Amino acid sequence: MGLLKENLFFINGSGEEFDVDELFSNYADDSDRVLANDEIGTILHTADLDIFSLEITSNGELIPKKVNQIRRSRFGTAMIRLQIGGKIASYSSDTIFHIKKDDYIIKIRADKLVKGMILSTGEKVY
Amino acid sequence: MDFKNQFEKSIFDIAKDIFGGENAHNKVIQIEDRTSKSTISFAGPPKKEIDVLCITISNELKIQLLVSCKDFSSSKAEPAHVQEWCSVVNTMNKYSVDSKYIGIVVSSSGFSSGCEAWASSDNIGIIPPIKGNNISFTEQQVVSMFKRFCIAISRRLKFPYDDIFEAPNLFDFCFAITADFEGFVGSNTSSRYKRMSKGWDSNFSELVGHIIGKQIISLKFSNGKFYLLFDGNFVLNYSDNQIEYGETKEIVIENEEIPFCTKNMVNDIITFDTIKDRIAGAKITSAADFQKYIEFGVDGKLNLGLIPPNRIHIMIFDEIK
Repeated sequence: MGLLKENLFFINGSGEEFDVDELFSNYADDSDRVLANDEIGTILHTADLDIFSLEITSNGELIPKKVNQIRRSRFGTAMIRLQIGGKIASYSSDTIFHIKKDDYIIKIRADKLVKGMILSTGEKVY
Repeated sequence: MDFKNQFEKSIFDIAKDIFGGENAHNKVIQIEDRTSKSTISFAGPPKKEIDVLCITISNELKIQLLVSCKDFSSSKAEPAHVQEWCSVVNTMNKYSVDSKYIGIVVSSSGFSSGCEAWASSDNIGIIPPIKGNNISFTEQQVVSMFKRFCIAISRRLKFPYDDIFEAPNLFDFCFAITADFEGFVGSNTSSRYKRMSKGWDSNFSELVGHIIGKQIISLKFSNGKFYLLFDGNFVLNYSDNQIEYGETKEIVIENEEIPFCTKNMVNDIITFDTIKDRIAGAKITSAADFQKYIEFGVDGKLNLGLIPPNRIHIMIFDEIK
């Protein structure tokens, strides 16, 4: 769920890029950090590891965002290509966006986004 | 111990397996601070018979998991069911002395969409998750989600956890742990494909994802099974109705045999050793499962067909032009 791995850059606290595959192979199944590892997939707890994803904004800036969990599922949902604001990226169809509706905000899945919708961040769906 | 239904028993058994003995079914729980002026009533302080489980996650941390179990055969759990549990968990936390309570509602038939906002605002976990579409999960999948959540929360609490008690973090945690079941449900796994050593059912696309680009070390045949050995201790074995693949520490193949080997359009005879020489060191570039046999593209130079019970057929592209 969420932005696909191809869209994400991970950096450590020193700002150096690192390989997320290595992170998954570093911990045994029974490690407390491995919150789940079964036929559905694997989830690692990373809140204490100083890991950040670099997210690209519409104007091309990279913003570091703390990563508390990294998930890898065996069978993801379908991929969808979306343009939101000035950014085009691939998302899994169950990615959740927050949309402005009247005077409140609702959740909506990526596969139910419609052109013209406005995200809570003010970005428009194209 | 009496259970209302098999679903409750399954949930109880999982909790017992993961958290140990100090779990109670149909236990009456009371608030810890029973002298507060605001809780005085003709019936005494608030109490609640837990319809399924009161689980001590950790004696050291004094954290308890309160589980409400709903098993409605034809309808989904309604907001009222979630609201009730929000109220119970909130009161237990409000009048606790040193314990902390985590609440979760598990419903075998899912939740109506109105439940989400109540659970989220009061920080209650719900299983199965509401995902904004009409996906439905089987009872067995819901039980598996609960098991996954129990393991995850027991490990998560080994790290700093104060944030978990702030809404909507527990709700979000529960969602994150169970959300990927959607992809799993739509994956059409079958017992024809198996992940080696895990025993999990798999499917053709997962097989392809693992095998493309792998370098072949050798090919063996024994007791009606083909064994393709790859670099990185990766093995694929194939017999009549099963394709099993994955990494393995060691594979012992006894009583190696020589299958019947043919090549190209007119089924010329070729030796097994010649086939092995041609594919050793090459990489898998494509795969196909024709049910009665499987075929791999090798380096774009030949197709390797494994045909049960004991035949190999290769198409060498240079020779059939």
